[in-house]
Amino acid sequence: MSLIDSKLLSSLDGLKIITHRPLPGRFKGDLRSLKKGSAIEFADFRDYVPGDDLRTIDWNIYARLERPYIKLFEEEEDTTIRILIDCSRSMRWGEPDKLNYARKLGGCLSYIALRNLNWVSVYGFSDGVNARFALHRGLAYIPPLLNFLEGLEPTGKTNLLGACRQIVSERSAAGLVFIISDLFGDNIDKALSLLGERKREVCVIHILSPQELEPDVLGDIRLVDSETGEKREASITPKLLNKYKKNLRTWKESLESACHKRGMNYIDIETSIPLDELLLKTFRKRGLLT
Amino acid sequence: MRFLNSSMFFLSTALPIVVIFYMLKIRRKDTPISSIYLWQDLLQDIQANTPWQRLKPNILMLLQLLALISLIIALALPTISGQAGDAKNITLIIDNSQSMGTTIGGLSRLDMAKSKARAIIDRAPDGARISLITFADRSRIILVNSQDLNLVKREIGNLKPEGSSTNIDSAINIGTSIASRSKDSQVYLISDGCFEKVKTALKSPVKFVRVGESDDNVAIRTATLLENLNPPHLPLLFVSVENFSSKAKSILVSIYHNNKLIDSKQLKLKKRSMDSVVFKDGLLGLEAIEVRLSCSNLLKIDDSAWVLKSERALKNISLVSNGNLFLEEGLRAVSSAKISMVGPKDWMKDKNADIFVFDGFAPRSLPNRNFLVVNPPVVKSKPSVFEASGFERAPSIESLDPNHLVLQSVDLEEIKIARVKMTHIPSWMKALASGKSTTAIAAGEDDGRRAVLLSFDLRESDLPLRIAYPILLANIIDYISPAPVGKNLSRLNLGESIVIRPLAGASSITIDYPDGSRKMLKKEEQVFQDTRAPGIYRISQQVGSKVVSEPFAVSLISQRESDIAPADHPELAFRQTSKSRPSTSSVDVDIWRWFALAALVLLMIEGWVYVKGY
Repeated sequence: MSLIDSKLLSSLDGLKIITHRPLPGRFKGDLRSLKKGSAIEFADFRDYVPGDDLRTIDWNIYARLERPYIKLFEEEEDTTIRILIDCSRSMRWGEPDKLNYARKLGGCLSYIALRNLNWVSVYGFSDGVNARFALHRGLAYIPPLLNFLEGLEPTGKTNLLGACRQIVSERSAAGLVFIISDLFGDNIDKALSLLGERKREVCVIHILSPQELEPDVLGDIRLVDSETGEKREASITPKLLNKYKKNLRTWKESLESACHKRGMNYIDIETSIPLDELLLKTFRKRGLLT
Repeated sequence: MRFLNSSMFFLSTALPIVVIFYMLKIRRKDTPISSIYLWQDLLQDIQANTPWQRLKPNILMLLQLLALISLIIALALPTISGQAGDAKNITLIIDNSQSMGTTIGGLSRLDMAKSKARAIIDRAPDGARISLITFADRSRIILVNSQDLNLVKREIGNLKPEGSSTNIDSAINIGTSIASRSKDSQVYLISDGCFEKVKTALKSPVKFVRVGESDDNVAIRTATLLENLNPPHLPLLFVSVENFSSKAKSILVSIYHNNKLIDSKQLKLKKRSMDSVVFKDGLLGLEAIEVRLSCSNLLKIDDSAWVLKSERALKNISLVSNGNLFLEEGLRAVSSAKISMVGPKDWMKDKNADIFVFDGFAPRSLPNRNFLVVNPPVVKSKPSVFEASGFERAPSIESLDPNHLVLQSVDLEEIKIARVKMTHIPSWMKALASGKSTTAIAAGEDDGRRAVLLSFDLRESDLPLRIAYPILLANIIDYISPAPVGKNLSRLNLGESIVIRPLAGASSITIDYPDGSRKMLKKEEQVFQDTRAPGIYRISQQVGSKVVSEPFAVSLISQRESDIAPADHPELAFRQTSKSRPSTSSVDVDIWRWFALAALVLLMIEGWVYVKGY
């Protein structure tokens, strides 16, 4: 497992991925779901409707209020986790490399999911979906998944909408979706709208390198886009750099707002943050892992 | 504000270049980035595929333009009016050359210089020591460290224009040397600036107080008597006149004998140009001719010149040649002396010759008479004196001494010479016209013997076909002709000296001045220097009952002095230099440092603005 060192993987052994809305699963699993059902942990009440199991009526409430209420419980079941890793050319950038960081992060999340007997599928996308690791469940699929991640190479430019269209068209596209991308592309908003349907929970992990956050360019230069090869002449001054940073801040705020509007999680990360710190501290703090 | 070096304003042509640089696109280095997505809004001013871009207000460009303007002004050496310093040791160097005699409104430049000098003296602190130096064709130390200010003022009041040239270097050298001996000293140079660039190193700061404004002058540049080439060889008077002013002039050129008008001719000259007239009629038998210009101009002393009929003791010219028609005819044109052709082997036997002309031949032992060497022979072995070792083909004349008698009024600019010989010239001769590696014309005097060298074959040049040829030959003959009284010349420039040698048995020597006064001289060989007034002088020696007399004419024929346009001298300004207008008693203080400092500060601000990215 050259992509991720075993020490990091072993530190992830006790972690579980949390979802924040009820997601349909295939079998009973170890993923903690917010789907209200018949498990042991009480969650809420709702009105009785004809056809409900009479055993679920809370008779104590009925005696007190003279109305039938159904008692709801949290249900633990397996669910499907899809991890979309941006493999556009812009991801092969920065120190540390964004694509490498995304592959490791994707590997860690997959490892956690597979260990907890969830279904995991990983997609490498740029102009569309370039590579796919089909849905699998169980620890046995950890080595082939990591091999798959190692094989992801940068190509093309970011087209998240195209990739999302392919994913939602799949027969069972419900579940938790992680998007790991620098989001340098158009139609991000549309892509999020497409993914953010009821049966999916989406977490956008916005990944940027330190060089993108604090560019070290100055003077009269010609900027060359690593994705498209497009060239733009510029006289970079400290004042222009300040404007760039302001632009960057506004852009990230707009992405975060777009995610929150659709009930999605948005996490912006910098590739200089160590992975173990990101997973064990940041993700846990943000309620993605427990 | 005035500018000492206004020619530097040509650098203002660089201002549009700065603007053009801002309109030109820069050649930029490719810098890969992950995506230009976030840069797009920031880089809207860039237009693709055009070498030019729209000029937009740019503070960097503005600062650079201001810095350049400040720098140009600094280089132009600006000055403003200010008060002179109060040094205790003051050295006054006053120009009393002829150009200082330029008079406007009854006040000459020398008068203005005197009032400037007096004003400086009046401002001097108590106990000040004043040194007074004057300069014209030579420098004179009048007073050194005098504390008697009245005496200094009297000496200044006695100054008169003199000489026929302006020798600034020795005056500056002496003045700054005196000043450098004490710390609290100041040198003032008061002049119209009509002198060559100062070459001597300044030993202490010099404040240049300039007087004079106008360039309005016309002058006689040549007045020479020639003989017509054709019989009966009647005399011709060749007069050239130059207009030094920046306005066209109409000039009446008249010739007089004993104040009686002989002839007049009208000349129209464009600004700063020269032209000539030739008088033919009424000259026969005249001994002295005065040429006068009638035209309004500010310097009068160069409007008259005197010409004498050659009455020298030149009776025989020995032409040592194998035959040279150009030379023979040329000599006949400028001299009435008998020309005898002598072969190279027989010249030493010619005892009657007054001067020798060697053509294509170099005498092994030099004659005891004055001589001219033309076209020296080329020898294969080591050349001796007046022999040549090779040629320089088609040389261009690069250095000239137009003030030497031999080259006066000789225009050599257009002369073409196929080959000039690399002649071994004796050290006592001075090069008058030189190419890159050869000397075409040289002249000099050694132990009372004068010689001229023309280091080329006349037949290999177009000189004999030009008007300069007879003038050059006349000058040469004039220069090398022996004189009955000592070694006098028939014409001198103002201030030039002559040697008077008593004739054997002379009982008295007298000199008659142009104003009619007479002075008795000592009966011994002497240098006569008192040629300050233009006109005809006459040296008379009483030998027994016979009086031998020789006249000579003194005129001002000097381009340097006649060109009265006042000049600034930036070479003096690089030291603490000041100048003054004639109408004020203050001196101007140079302020170029402030502009240079402003340029530096603006450049620093520009750098700061660039770093800050405004």
